[in-house]
Amino acid sequence: MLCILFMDELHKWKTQIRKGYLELCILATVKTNGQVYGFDLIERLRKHGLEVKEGTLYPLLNRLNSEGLLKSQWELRDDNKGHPRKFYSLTPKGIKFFRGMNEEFENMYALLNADIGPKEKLNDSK
Amino acid sequence: MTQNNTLNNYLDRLEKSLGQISVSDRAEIILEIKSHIDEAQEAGGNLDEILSSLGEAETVANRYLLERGLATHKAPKHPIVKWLMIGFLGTFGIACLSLIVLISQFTPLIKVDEKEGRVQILGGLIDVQEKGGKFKIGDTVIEHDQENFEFKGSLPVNSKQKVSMNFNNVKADLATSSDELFHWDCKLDEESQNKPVVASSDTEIVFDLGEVKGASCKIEIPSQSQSKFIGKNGKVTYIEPKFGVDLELNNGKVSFSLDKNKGYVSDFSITNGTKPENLYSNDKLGAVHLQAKVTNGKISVDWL
Repeated sequence: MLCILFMDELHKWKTQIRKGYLELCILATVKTNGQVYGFDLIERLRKHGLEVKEGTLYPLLNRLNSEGLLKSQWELRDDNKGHPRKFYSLTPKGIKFFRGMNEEFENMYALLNADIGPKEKLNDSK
Repeated sequence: MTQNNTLNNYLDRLEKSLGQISVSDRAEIILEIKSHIDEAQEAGGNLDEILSSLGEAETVANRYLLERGLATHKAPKHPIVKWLMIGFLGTFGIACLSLIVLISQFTPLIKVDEKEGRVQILGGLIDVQEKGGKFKIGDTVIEHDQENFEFKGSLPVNSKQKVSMNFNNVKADLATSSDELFHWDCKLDEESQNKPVVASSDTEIVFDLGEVKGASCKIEIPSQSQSKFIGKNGKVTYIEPKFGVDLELNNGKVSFSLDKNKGYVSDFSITNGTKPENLYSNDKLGAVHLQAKVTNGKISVDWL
């Protein structure tokens, strides 16, 4: 019973954390590639071990777009055949926002690796 | 349903569920989702799997609404879940209805009428009437036919014979018979495989109730005869005995109702209980001899 409660709490925590770093990962991928479309973005994130549901990613892209962090444009493929793709790229606001997020993430990472980080605490408890 | 129909149906549901978002934004969302599906199909995906991976149209729409801080719709339940719920609620409803009908039919659950000696269970479905020994279940009446449980008879007693009785859990009233016969009239509480046994020999009449429990007997013994009763768990009453009494009882009560004009000589003995003073008579030959030995109980004497 305790184990189930623990797993449930951990799942909630992971969901919260994931919400934060999913946005960071999306912005990072868009920045690295200049511009990406949804299907491509999903594949790239998957390659790095981050599974994202399509039903989660597209609404998120939609919000980042409406908040002005991303801009989008429809493009036909090189062969002008088939369906169009909606490409996303970072806006100047998005670049600034990404830097801010990245900085915060690095600070957090540094904190976790510092003396007060969980490793030290774990050692203390031994 | 063809693949095109399936896709159109999905996109229609998505479009409808995005109702709160502006028309142009809705169109763009639909176009993007359609583009994703086309892309996934080109990559070799199966439409059903792609739609399943996207999630229910209403759930996807809710995510868009949530991201925009708009109120969401209730996501529809999976058809199997829906039918299971309908089935469960239907069964539950029928069960509740049946329970209400049963309770209304069988209320009160238990009604005890001590005056009438009657117990009604489940609103009268089971009706037990102490008087008359009636037992009713629904329309079926089971009558406790007392005659079937009666054990009655008599035997002549000669001057050499002694009347002996063994018993267990018996209520017995003993009196003096008006003739030279030993009479017994027993009512048995239940029809038992074990019947009373009466045996007569030159020196003794044995009335054996040892294996018959719960009997109630009226017994008459000729005057001048001798009686020997041995038993346990019982209530024995002697009413004006004119025969010799020799009783041994474990657990129980012995009462003597005696004639004050008659002479008695007694030998009452008790272990764990109460007993009256012993009786003495000057006329030792004409006196009736009462011998009673009781363990755990009471011996009492009343004068008539």
